[in-house]
Amino acid sequence: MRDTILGIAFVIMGLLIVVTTHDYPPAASLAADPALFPRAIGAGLGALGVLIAVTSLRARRSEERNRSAVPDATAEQSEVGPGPDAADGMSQTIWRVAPFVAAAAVYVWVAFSSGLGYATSTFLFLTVLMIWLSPKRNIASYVSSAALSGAISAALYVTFVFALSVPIPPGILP
Amino acid sequence: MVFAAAGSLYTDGLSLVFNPLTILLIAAGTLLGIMFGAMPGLTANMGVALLVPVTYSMSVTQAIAMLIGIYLGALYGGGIPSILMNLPGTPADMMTGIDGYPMTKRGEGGKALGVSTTSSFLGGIGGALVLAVMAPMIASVAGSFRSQEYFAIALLGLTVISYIAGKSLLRGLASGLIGLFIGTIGIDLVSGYPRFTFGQADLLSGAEFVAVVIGVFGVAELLEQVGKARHGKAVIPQKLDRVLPSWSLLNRLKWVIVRSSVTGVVVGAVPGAGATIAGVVSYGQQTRLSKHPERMGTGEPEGVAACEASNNACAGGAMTTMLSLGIPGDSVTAILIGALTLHGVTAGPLLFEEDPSLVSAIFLSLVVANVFLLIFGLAAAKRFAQVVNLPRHILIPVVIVLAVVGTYALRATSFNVFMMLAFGVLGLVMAAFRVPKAPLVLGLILGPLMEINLRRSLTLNDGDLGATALSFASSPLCLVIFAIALLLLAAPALQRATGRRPAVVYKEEE
Repeated sequence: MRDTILGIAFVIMGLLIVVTTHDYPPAASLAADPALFPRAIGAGLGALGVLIAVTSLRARRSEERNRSAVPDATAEQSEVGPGPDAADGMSQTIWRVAPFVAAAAVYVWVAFSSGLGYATSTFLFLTVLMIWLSPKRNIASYVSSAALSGAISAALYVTFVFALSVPIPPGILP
Repeated sequence: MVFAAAGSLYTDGLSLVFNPLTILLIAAGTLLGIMFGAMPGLTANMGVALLVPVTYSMSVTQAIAMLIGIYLGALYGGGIPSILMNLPGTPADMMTGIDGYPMTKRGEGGKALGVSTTSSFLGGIGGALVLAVMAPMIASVAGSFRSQEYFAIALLGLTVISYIAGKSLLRGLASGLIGLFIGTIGIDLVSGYPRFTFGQADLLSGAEFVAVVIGVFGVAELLEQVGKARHGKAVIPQKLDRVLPSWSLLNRLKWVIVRSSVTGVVVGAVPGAGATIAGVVSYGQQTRLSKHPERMGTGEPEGVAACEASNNACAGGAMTTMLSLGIPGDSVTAILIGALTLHGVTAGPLLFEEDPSLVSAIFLSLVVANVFLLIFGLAAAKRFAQVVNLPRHILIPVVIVLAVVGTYALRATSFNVFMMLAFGVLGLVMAAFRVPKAPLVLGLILGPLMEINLRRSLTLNDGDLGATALSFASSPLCLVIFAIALLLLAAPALQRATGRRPAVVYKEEE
């Protein structure tokens, strides 16, 4: 099932690539055509997608046939890869990962584009994340997380701004 | 003419390099380089580029010696986070983590670091020897490359996909095509038309390679860890009693190191193909030649040794081309050429005649830097490995913050950081669908090289496909490279058919 979805996704990606190149300006020769390479890639991706989907459907059909032909055989063992609870595991993963990615994206925006500045937002992000991921829930662990975060963000700020002269937004810091 | 100067190549620079200040500068450079390399996002290029201004006041020998130290240190240092956290410090260490990280997962991080350090040292020394002995020969072959040969080389590089594709060649190829596609993003160099930029000015110069690599490998790995159940204790505690590899292990690895060093030097000497490609090609070669290909990717020291020996040996090859032709073998040597120019020295064949002592000093500096790399690496490997013993709730936030600031520092734009996060999610999805990630990166590196050279060949033949094909067929070098590519591509299928070897040679981390 997963491979069928994957195959279809590749076909869609290939189509999207080819469609996007449609309004590219016409070229005088094959060599000057900016769409030549992307279209070839899109076509290749689509073809691979079809192959992957077909192979997976065929494998499933032959598996079903085998199962109905030999009813009491090692049917349960023939499943390769993640079993039926894989979908369940995936949704759990999404529930854990999505807030993390969102928090990281917010952090990147706040650190570099808001007025708060890099060091301050890094300190806040690190503290929140350490407390969130930590198994301990007590004042002592909160304080140590904050202290560690402060030290790390200060060290990073000093390294990048003064030693490497990377223009990192200072924000509310002097 | 070049050979005539080679006799003094070993002695002329002795007095220049073996004085306390120069030695100290090489040591400082190597240490700085290791730190740069170990920070995800900070690459060898960046380290060398940032330190060029510092060398203004030095003599040309001291300047180049220190920069060489940084270059080599960074090539080695990048392997450390790759082994410990599957987070390549520099793109060149992408393949190190494939076997290095599983070793860490087993608690053998210290051993993996030891193998990495020793292989880097031996590979680097091998590269330096080649620089001294074979410089003129290698450079003349690489110098005759035209666009047809470059295209062929890129195609040869892509055939490595068939070795790193894992269970399904189809999924590996698809991953490679996605990489090729990402490589087309940005201004088309032939027509000047912006492709797939969707109005984003940040994409005009293309998708930032480092952001993609850190995202797909490093961030995706962090996300996987976050996604896994219970935020429990740290990973397996690391055994650190013995970092120096045993003689029997070194004996087992000796041919791996020799082979990979040779590959690294050759790839490094080809202009434009740097340490990243050297690492990938050597790893692919190793899976091909390994006695136990089915174990590659599960934590085999061979994999670590192949990649690390090769990307350090690459420096010798790249500098061979740089010194004898004045053409950069990779992006770091391009900066080194710039640094030499700042000091009034022009790299190229004439340098061997005009200033053999400088050429000799560069060769000796490379050797000295490798010795420091070995000393620092073995002395500090235990400290490095302890990083992994940090609790996860501290390690994960710190690593993500490092990845963010490193990616930001490249271009001082947050666009690349968002792109890195997006590629992190892509990497996670790819892992969930069991699509191998390494082919994507390979496609991204080789795609632009392949496209521009194919279209250049087409332009030379007035866009005529038939004439272009003929121009490929009439180049003996192209034919040889194509034949090797075909052989490499067909070999796994042939072996599968004859049942000699199992199909699975590379397992993406579960």
